[in-house]
Amino acid sequence: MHIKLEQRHGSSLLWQGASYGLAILAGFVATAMLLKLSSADVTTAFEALFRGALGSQRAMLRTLVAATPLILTGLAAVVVFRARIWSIGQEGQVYAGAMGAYWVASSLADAPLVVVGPLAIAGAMLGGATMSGIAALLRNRYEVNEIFSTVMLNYIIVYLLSFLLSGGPWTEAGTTVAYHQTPLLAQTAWLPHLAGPLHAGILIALLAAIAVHLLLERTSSGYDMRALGANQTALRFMGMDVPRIVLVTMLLSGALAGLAGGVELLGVQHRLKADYLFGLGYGGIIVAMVGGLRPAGTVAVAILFGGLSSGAVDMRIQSGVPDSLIQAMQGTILLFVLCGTALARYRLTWSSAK
Amino acid sequence: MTVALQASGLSKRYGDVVALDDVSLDIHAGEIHCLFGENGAGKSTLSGCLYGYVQPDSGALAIDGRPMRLRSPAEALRLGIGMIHQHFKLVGRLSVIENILVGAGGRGLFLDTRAARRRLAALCADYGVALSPDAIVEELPVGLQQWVEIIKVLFLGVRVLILDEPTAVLTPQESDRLMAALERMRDAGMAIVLISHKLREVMRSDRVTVLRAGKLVASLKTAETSPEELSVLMVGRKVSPSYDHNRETPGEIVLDLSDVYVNGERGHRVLDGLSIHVRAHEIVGLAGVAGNGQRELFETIMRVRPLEAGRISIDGKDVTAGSTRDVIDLGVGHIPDDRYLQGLIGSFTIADNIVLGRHHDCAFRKGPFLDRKAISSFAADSMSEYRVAARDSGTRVDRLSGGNAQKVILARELQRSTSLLLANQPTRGLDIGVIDYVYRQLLAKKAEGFGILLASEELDDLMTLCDRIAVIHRGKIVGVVDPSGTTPQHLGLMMAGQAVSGGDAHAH
Amino acid sequence: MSMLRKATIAVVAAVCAVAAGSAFADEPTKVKIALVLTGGVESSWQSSLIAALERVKAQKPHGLEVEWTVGDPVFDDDAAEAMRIYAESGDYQIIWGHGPYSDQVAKVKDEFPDMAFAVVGSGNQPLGGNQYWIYKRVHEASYLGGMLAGGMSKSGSLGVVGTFPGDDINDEINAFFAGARQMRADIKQRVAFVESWYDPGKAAEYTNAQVATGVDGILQLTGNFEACKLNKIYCFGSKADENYFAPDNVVTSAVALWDPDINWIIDEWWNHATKGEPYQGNAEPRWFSVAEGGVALAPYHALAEKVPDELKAKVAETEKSIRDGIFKVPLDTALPVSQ
Repeated sequence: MHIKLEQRHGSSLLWQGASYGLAILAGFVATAMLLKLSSADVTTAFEALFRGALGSQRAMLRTLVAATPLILTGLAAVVVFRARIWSIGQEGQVYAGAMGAYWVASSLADAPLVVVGPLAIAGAMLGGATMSGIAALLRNRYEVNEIFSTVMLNYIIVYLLSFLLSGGPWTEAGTTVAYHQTPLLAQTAWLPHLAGPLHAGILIALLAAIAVHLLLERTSSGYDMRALGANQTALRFMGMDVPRIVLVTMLLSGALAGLAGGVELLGVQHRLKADYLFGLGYGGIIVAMVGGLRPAGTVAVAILFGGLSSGAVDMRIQSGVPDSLIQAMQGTILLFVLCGTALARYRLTWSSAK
Repeated sequence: MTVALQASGLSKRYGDVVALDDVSLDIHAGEIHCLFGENGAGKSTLSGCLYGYVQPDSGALAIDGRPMRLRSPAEALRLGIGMIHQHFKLVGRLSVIENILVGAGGRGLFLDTRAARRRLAALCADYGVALSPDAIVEELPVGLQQWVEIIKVLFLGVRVLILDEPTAVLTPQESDRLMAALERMRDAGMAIVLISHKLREVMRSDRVTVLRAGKLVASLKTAETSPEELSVLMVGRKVSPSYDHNRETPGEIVLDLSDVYVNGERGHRVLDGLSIHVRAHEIVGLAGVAGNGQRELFETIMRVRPLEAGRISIDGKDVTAGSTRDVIDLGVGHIPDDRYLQGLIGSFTIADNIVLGRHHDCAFRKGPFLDRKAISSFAADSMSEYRVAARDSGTRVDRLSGGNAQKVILARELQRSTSLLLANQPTRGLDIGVIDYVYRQLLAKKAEGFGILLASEELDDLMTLCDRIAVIHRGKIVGVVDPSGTTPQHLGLMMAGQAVSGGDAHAH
Repeated sequence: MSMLRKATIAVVAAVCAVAAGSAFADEPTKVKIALVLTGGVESSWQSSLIAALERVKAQKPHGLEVEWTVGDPVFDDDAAEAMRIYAESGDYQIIWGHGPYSDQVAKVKDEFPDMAFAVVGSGNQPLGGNQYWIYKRVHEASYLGGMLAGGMSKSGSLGVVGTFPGDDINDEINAFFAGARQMRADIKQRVAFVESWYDPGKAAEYTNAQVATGVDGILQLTGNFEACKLNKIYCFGSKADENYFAPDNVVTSAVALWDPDINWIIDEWWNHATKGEPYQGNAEPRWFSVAEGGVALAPYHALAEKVPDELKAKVAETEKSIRDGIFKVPLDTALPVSQ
């Protein structure tokens, strides 16, 4: 047998949908075998997973809550990756965004939501953009590869937050430093809830998705970013200011990732704590890649992941599946979705041996 | 004559593009068989099918009369079919013998160097090539690198050799030598498949197969045809290869480089005290073997490459410290040699490429948004003015043939430039019809008063088009000649770096 | 028997009968507790709670069958959702967050006003209503352990390897050294925090470093006793009897006994469920002392013979005076430092 991958030209929407559907299904079959191997009750576990993800209005809303920060970090990854800037600083930018929002919200403790909300959101964007801006300047000025600079910055910001929370100025006073957290924000800084657990952050995330789509596809700045990704050399020969485009792209990406941190802080956690934010940035990279680096795909994949993580709680509580196995399940499903992506974009051709 | 390779009814489509449509042909042992046609005519797809890296949708191959399926180039090589690509597949840091053994490798852990050296020496003697086995490949001239590639394939004992535009990177002398060597291989009984669009080379083949739009138009004995007939067969209409040659009085200097020193990526000198100038109403030709600093010269003028020393001015304004944007704003148009790298964004549409660099202009923008309507109508106008053949302006540029892609660049660069045109190999890989079109456009711009710097490997073309020809060798202008007082052979010697008497050896 | 007394007995009997009757009719016979944990049940913080639940179950408070459910550790918003899942199932009467879970309780507690919520330790907020806030202070037992450490130390140098500093950890450490100084005023103290809830490598590293400075007795709060074994020094455990980790090294442990805490919460729920008393969650964290059975010193096990009898007697005497309220171990929550 001789198997080759060939790129599909203009594969149909139906085929793409079918590929993803098939992949998710196969992922669940593989997951079921995984559960079986560890002698868990497969039916109870899946029942709990689906109930927790889609089983009730509340479950669906929770899925959206879990998807909200992933949509934003996913968009942050979409923006830079479309421009072929290999920033993996979304993780640190989430922290910086949450810190920016916290700083604003805690400084304006007495102001009403209409004042604190927008300003804290702006603080979040500024926080994230500061981080990515530093990486962009390092690239433009000193030719520092953004992969290195963003990874370094991820560490730096996490340790900075750790300092602030473990005895530093933001540490919750009075009780202890053991929990590495700030005091709760005043309720005036909490994002309003739309229904049940669903906070207004989802609107911000969806608006951001639409805005990123319009920006990339319809604006001249988005043209710059796509062109940077498609052919940086041609862009330079056309006299475009490539460093400026890099800076703008990075600032936008950082602002989006920062927004994720801010929305998570103001909508769900209401206090800063290091482990609340862990993994949102890296998760966003995966979401964006699986989503084909398109805003609509990113939203869809983020919701799928939101469902998996919200259903995982139910599965853990109700079927006693251990946490490590749940993470393995999520990884398995992800792997299959990635295969589905390949299936949607490429064609397998084979010829039998003579 | 025995049929070495037989193709019957080959067809291949990519999406809705038919690249190859029911093509049948025989390649005989002991013949040089030329595949001739425009870019996009199907030559590359056909040779790909013969070499096993393109799988035809239908049709069959037979090797020495036995039906075969070629699933990979490796399989083709095993069956005695080799191919020399335009872009060499050599490891630059390794020596000649190492490259040859890597190509022939995979048999045994230790490479039998001694036997290989003996065979290499014999092959070099056979074809009159001076190739030292221990020379480092990337330090060799391009012509010799090509020989490394050829010998690598000969080592594997191929009986069918396919060459994809092999003379594009060679001086006329080197081309002659290569053609002579191919003739010797033919006489030794090999089958040579030569892909070319140069009529001079085609005429030295034994048979020629003309392709047009994926279809086989004619398969002729070369001796029974003529360049004129072949041109007509290729483009489907008659083209006239002569240009009106209006010698006008050159005007002001629009481009002036003096003592320009530029380093390459690895820190070595690529422009070594180069001086050249171009006046309005003048086409200055730049002749040289590929890799002698032509590309770097254009990049330096476009200010995408930093200057070590020297001075550049355009239209009397010093741009030594300027940016690419400054150069473009002075009305400079640039037609790069690698159009998909420097000139176009392959995954973008024709429309997007035509406004590339101008997409922030008010004319193409409504607030922050691109004005799609304005861009499309501008692109549609440009396409009809510059005869870009495509379904519409929404077609992706990387789906266009080389000629149409080049016309997209022309449409953009000629429309926005006002004083100076830089054209580096503007006709590379194009068919006669498009070449003619490109040159007519350049002449029209000259008539308008543009200064034009034109680098080309086609010496005949330089000699008919240019007012002066500057020869570049190792990053220096080694001579500037009047085309009416020189011959291709004379230019070729200068290009090879040989001191020539009789020519005007001064840059200014 | 006087009429009056007869009448009294009759009335009492009647009341009892009514009470018993109503108990048969409405009173719950079972209480089920959902445990939300920060770590696996093998660590002392968790295992001491499970041990206490077993004892309470055997006691059958209010005649109740006591049951509980343990899940994998959950944190953050997932913990709130876990609480909600437990609450919505209707199977549970008490949700016990064995750690800093008041943020999560705050999101759920008002929707389930008849349930009792407990949160434990520092890092919590008082919410009142149906949230109760439990503290576990083991400083009294730690003081006794410190006396043993001080009495058995040859070098006069003692150390602590802790996880994180914190209000309900500092008290234990300071009491340990206070107890040691009770035996020997010139005790030098070394304090190190690994700044992690679980990092055996770092715990061993810090232990070795302290031993290198001359420390020969360590209050080991990380649950990692390998370095104690290797260095052949005496160590002291915390929260549960940790002797089994290193029987030749762990002299004793300051054991957290959760029995009074559990009984308190069950009582509060019982009073609410059977008498309709409103929940009144405490504003200040509540802790139970040695006297109340909230904390105790673990037995010496095989090391009993290594502890000098005189020292044993002195410790036993101090324990009695603590229990009797004669001696009060100072509660010092300041951040302990090496000195």
